[in-house]
Amino acid sequence: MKKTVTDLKVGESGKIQKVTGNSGYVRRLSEMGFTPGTVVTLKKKAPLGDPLELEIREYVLTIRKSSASLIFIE
Amino acid sequence: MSDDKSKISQSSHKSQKWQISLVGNPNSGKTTLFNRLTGSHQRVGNWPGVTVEKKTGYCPFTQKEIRLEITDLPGIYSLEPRSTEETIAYDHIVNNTPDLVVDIVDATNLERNLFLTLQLKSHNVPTVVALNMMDEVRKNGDKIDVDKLSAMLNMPVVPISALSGSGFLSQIMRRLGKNVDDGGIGNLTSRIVQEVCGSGCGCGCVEVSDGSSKECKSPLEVSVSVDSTPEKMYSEIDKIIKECLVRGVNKNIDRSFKIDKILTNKWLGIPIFLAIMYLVFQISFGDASSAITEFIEGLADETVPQLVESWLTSLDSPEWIISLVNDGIVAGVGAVLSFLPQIFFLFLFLTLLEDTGYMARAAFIMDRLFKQVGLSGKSFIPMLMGFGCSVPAVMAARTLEDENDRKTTIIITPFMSCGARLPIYALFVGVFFAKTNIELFGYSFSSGGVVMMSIYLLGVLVAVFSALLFKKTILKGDGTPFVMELPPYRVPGFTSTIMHLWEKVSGFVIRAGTIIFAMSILIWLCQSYDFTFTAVEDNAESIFGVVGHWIAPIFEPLGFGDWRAAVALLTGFIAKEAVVSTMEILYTAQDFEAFFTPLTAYAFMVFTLLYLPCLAALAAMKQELNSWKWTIFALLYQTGVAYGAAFIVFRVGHLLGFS
Repeated sequence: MKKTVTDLKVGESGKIQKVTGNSGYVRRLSEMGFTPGTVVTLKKKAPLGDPLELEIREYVLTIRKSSASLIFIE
Repeated sequence: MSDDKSKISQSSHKSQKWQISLVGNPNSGKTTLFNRLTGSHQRVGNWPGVTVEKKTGYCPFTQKEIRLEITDLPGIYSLEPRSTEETIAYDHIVNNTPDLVVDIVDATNLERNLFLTLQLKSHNVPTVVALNMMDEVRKNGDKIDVDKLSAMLNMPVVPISALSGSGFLSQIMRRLGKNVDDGGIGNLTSRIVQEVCGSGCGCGCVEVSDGSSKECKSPLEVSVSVDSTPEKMYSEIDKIIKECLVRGVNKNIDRSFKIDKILTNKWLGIPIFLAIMYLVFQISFGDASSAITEFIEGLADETVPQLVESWLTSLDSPEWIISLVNDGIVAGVGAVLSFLPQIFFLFLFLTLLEDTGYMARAAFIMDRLFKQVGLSGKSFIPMLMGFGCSVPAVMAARTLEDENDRKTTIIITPFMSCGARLPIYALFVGVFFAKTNIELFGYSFSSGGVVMMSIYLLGVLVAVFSALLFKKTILKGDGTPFVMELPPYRVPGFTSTIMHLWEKVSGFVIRAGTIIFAMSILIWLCQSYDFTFTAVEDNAESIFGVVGHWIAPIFEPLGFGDWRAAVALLTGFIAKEAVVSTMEILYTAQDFEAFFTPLTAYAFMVFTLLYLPCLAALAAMKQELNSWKWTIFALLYQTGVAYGAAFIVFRVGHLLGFS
């Protein structure tokens, strides 16, 4: 089983290996800096458990768990 | 790059007006810079061709013959035309070819911001980089080698801090000719002028600090092309960062994490969110603003009419003029203006929530719930703004990337009870519900408050139900994911908050002075004269009387089949505030209380909550949906829902023994 961002515990980081999913989504995330080799940190989960707060390239953004499960990390 | 050169020399023959466009990521301080550059010399107009709001301003300059027309484009992360906002920016930059693009880069987040810069570079767009928030960079202890950055990008880079020196005091000091830190705005403007009119500047040569020009092609320059992948772009960015940036501690991001430990805390997040929303509504619609409202009402009902009457009588004016001014204009415009404090507070809070960065957190907290109805947390912002005014709210839906999410949000946003509907409820609640109490769980509540809240809640419920319906049937999502930046918390600039607020509030006052003013005269004429333009004694025989009697039967099943109510609803299409103005003009207090009962009053409130929005909102919807088919569908849907809901309220209420 490969690890994805959803497997990270709050506070943990991982190096991005590959972003999968439909092309528009992959493109959008790579424009926002999700490129292979970049370190991403899971900062927190929203009060209701979803979405997730991630830190990447010196800024913070939020995506849903379903999207995060498409980002594979080393 | 030779294209740019020829274009510039070409246009210099035409005129001395230059098109400058501001682009940048959201939250990079673009709007603040726009306000700084243009001061009060701005206006909002429509895009030629594409029908979306654009802001244009003129930069006031020392050299009078140079006019810079500055366009504020929407905040975007990428030039790839995918969302509406990106398409607007792409069309403007690539197809409209402005003389110069000023790219605002948030220097505290160079990496992601440079992505857009490299895209501009790959399209060979003549660009000046405004490196913003340099004051924060210094505070963080970061070091940016501006000259090297400029060489690597092969673009002029001007460090600025748009917020510093933008304060009210600094502006006054500057007016007085005092030397105040302008945050580098002066450098930026002179660089812009130099770029557009200087000789041979189109090639983007780098000027070093001693004034001499370097080689046009710097050996350091990074190379990107239109078909570079994001991976390639970011690997170039990594090179730039390595060469030009020495990182200190990002205090801003650390501070934001600390604040978020509380504000988006697992247990406290939702209670705090609800408390903030409660405060916003409590202050906007609470005692303080009601007191001001009562004061304005007092002026409009007694003081001003008395003054007008004695003044006009002293001028020997005929009776009808006094009636026109008092019963028409003062009553109509006054009823609307009395509502100014609520508008002021609501927009003040919405602006503050947006500018501090909390709005994005609210969307973060609410996303899970919105997901349940098939929308995303991003829909929260337009819907919240809908409580203020549907027009900006419908426009705010532009940030939604999924086309179907956007359509759904636009159609359901008018169900959020807009500020202009408030006086309608206030009128009915004041007359029919204010003096009674409701017993619940042993507590006694003023039924006025409960009725008011139930109306707002009903609007939200109908919106949620409609979203669910649309997303399950005709507007299924295409699976565009929810990706949203959580910007660092910032203390909003005083001047920019005031400017933002002024834009909204003055818009409201201008409406009261123009549309409502004209409407009030028209309403007065239509209720004082018949179709042969003869003055009537009984306004039931007037133009309105005839038209009203004609359409009133439609509303009979809802319990308010009175011609005056029908006419009020009709005028409400022009502006929702006009419903109250019309009622003030048509009903006497006794008639009003005699005709409506608490039940029919409630049914009427439900109908006005849900039925088609005003003309301005309709125009905004047409513009944003960009289709008559969808706009007409939305109007029919909204009015149908209103009719159904009011019918159910009236019939079921009747069966339950209410009257």
